[in-house]
Amino acid sequence: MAMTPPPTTQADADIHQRLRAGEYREALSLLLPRYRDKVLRLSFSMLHDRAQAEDITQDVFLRAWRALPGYAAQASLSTWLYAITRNACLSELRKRRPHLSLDLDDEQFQPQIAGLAAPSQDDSATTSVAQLLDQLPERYRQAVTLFYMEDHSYEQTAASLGLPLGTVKALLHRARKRLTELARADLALAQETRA
Amino acid sequence: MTPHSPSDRPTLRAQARDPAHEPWEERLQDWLDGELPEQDHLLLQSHLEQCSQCRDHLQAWQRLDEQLQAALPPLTVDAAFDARLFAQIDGIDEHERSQLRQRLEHEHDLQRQALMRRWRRSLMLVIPGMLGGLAVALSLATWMDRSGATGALAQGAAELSRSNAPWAGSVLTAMLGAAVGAVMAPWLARLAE
Repeated sequence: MAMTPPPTTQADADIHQRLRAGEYREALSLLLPRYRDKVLRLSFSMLHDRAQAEDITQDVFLRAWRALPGYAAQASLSTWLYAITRNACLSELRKRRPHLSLDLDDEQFQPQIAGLAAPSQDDSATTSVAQLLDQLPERYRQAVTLFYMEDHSYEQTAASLGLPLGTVKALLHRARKRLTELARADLALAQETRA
Repeated sequence: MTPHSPSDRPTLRAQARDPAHEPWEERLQDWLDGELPEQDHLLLQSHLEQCSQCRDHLQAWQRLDEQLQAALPPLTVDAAFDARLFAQIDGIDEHERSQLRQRLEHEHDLQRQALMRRWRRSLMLVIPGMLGGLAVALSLATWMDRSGATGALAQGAAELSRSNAPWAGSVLTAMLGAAVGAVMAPWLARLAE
């Protein structure tokens, strides 16, 4: 059976053609509708702040505009653009929290400590899923946020995060289990408080 | 499924984890994500009919799935995003063009000044060189007159012409021309620079 190239590669052939012709403005006009929302979602998944994610999205496309003449097509346009986005977000996070590690992994996760850092916006007995999400390790939270924003697409989530598909799947599965554990702990705490 | 607000917080009921159920949990999540192979559907279904723990897991994860979908709607940039971006790009371009123009003008000025310096240097060498050459030629002519070399040369020339040897005159002219050329060539080369 003949292999067909991924849809993004096919779709970006016209952009590559414009780039080869030195028509950078036209190339950017084609790039924007395909990637602006994806870049925004990736930025949001890393920054957790819509206004900042929008600023970073604009900054990413400005950087891309400046770099387009030097784009050597060694990586696909989407990979290149997501790498620019991740770097821009990491710079922003370093400015914001220079003393925090951004790559807590599964083994380092401690629900009790995460719970201490969780927002306590009200005194209700139960916690919203958004608040539970805030208690997840960073990598899990990014994967979950992108997966649900990208309409349950493993492929898009993996492409945006620059991770293998299997890793994204494992992160999502563990994140779901963590969320249910956190919910259970939250429920038990609420019952204790009532008693 | 409706989006929830902070005042309408959902409760997630989680189940205790049993290591023996891990493979089934993985299959359940695969099924939830639409990733479970078709041939495993019946297997999972028959397990669910027998296992209340997995049924509870499935229920909890389905509820979680709905809540996450509601909490994380797909973000989109606003309609004016492209216009704002291109306005910013145009601003950058105009600024870059202006900087480039200034740089080119500066480079042109530098080149013009360097050319003028080279011409001045060349003239300062050529004029004294010409005057010096004239002085040397006059001194040489005077010395030759006084020493009788001019008379000897004239006599030699007369003898040559008498012996009807036109080739000797041509050789003398060529030698004189080569000597003048050798002196003039470096000056001309420097001037051309």
